[in-house]
Amino acid sequence: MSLHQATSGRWTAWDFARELDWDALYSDQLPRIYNYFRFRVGVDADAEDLSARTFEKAWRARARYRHDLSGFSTWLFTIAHNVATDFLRVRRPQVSLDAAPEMRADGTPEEDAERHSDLERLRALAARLSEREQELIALKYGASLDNRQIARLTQLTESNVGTILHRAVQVLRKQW
Amino acid sequence: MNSEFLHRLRRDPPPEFAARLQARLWQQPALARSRRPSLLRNLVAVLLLGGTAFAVTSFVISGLPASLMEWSQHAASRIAAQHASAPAFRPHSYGSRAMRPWSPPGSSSPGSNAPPGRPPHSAAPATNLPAADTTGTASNAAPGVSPNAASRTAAAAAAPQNRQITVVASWAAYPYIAPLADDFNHRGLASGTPGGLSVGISVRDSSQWPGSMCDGGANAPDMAYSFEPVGTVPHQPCPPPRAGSPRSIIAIPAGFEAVALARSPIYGAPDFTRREIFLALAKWVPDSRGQTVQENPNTTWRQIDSTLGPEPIEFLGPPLSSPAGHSMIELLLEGGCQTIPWIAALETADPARYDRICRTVRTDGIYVEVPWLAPSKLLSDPNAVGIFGLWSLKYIRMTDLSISRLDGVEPTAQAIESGAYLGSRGFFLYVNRTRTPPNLVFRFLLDDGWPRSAEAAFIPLSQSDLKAAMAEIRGP
Repeated sequence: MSLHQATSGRWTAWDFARELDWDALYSDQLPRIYNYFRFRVGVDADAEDLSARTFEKAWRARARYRHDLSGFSTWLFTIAHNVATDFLRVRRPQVSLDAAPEMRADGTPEEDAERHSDLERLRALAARLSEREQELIALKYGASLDNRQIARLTQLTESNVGTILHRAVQVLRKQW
Repeated sequence: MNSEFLHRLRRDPPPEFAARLQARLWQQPALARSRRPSLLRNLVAVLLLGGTAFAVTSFVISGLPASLMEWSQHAASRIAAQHASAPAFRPHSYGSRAMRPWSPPGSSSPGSNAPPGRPPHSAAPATNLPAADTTGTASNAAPGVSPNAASRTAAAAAAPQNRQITVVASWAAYPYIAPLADDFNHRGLASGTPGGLSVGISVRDSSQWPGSMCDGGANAPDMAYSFEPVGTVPHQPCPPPRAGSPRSIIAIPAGFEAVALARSPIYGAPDFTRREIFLALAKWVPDSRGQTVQENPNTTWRQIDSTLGPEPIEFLGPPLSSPAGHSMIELLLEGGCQTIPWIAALETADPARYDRICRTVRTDGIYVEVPWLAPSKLLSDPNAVGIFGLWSLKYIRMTDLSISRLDGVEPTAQAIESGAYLGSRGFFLYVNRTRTPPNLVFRFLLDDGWPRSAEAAFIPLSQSDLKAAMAEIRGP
């Protein structure tokens, strides 16, 4: 069996998923993932750390990626979402429901935000939004995903994603 | 504040971070693909659990053994004895070309890039050298029994003695084999494979292993990965066996790899020869006096060939210590070197000098190592020629970049298959059938039915061809 005989026709024999171009995917997806985390956590160093964690998990589990179940971007952002959730769970201070209204008092967050960059200010203001709204803003404006991709990731309808984002941006605009 | 403002808050990740992460990813082995849940497997698990629960309950009801402590002490001593009999870990054996330590991308010192060092991958559990050969060989088979079958029986019988399957790989193939060895050693070998086996990698230059593999001695490798020029594959690397005996060493084609060049479409599709690439990329090139070399003075393409144009020579390519970097050096640099007869003759006459000339990339800034080469970099720098591995080729085709011909041939699938594209080569697995269980070899080729070479971004075999390869592995 010659090499030619042994390998003829193989280019069409295998699914595209098996020929993922990791270099290209990395260069395409890293800025999205990185900015998703910047919008989620607001600190560049944390965003780097979490991006690295996401890619390392994806890279190690690349053999488990099933092209027939989801797009690569969806798969990667699912990992990123879990990484962010783990991180925020540890970082977020635990506050009782009784104390929550005090935290929402106007004044201090804005004053702090004035001293920081626009992104940090955005993070401070977005912290008042619900978890889901924060996630959607990070996916939309950080990761630059369109509403359809976000809907697929979050199990919401596309119109629901649009509505929630519109309201969230309105709230942020008022407070800016 | 509006959507546009929010989008403007984005920014690119710092390049140093991106490069560092990319380099780190190469060091991570892939985990095995998760198996689909099987109804039968679940049923068996439930039955086993039920049976165990029943047995434990019966045991408790019928009363505990008188000397439970004695039993636990016996178990502990048995485990200790097993540990004591396990083979000791020993370091890698390295070929002469492979002794340089790996350095992260961008940190190679001038003059230290030839030949490239260790690829950025670690496979800690797979660092054993082979234990003593206990499997028997075809020559000591019982009369009337096929040597092949006899030796496999011997292999099965000897397996519980913690034998290690030794796989030889060159540095270019090492990143491919290391995760496999990790996977085998962590998850266990294939079903149907005798217990007590593990997999160890020995990194050697491709010229060093065939002889010892044919010898069949104690330190002979059981399997070897090798890149071979297409069309000149030594399918039978060992002398023919005695009449009527099956061959013990077989070569299984596992795929192809290739290197491609691309450039901004401004100048149209380039058409380089490997010789021109060598003269543009090598640190040392022949001077006008004949059989001597000088430090590469070429800074424009016209200096190499007047038909090539006055543009400055610029290359953006993979880190030299990466797998793609190894391939680039071996396929382009060494390939071009081989077109100059007096240098090609040095390969046997003066290998050290040959390495210095043919495997050293220039360090004057004309070649820039880029861990991940985005096409936009080439589009924004029309003079730069990008060097890509095969796995990027499909992606490049989707961009506006012009893909270069090499010695007049485009890197199409057909050209790579036929060997017409000289920037490609075949990827082979050599197997000693008498020492290696067939199921293990299959696991080296397939993972849950998928060819492993596809995982590693090589071009894989078709399913029918894999079946043919498997039949060859099983033997007569």
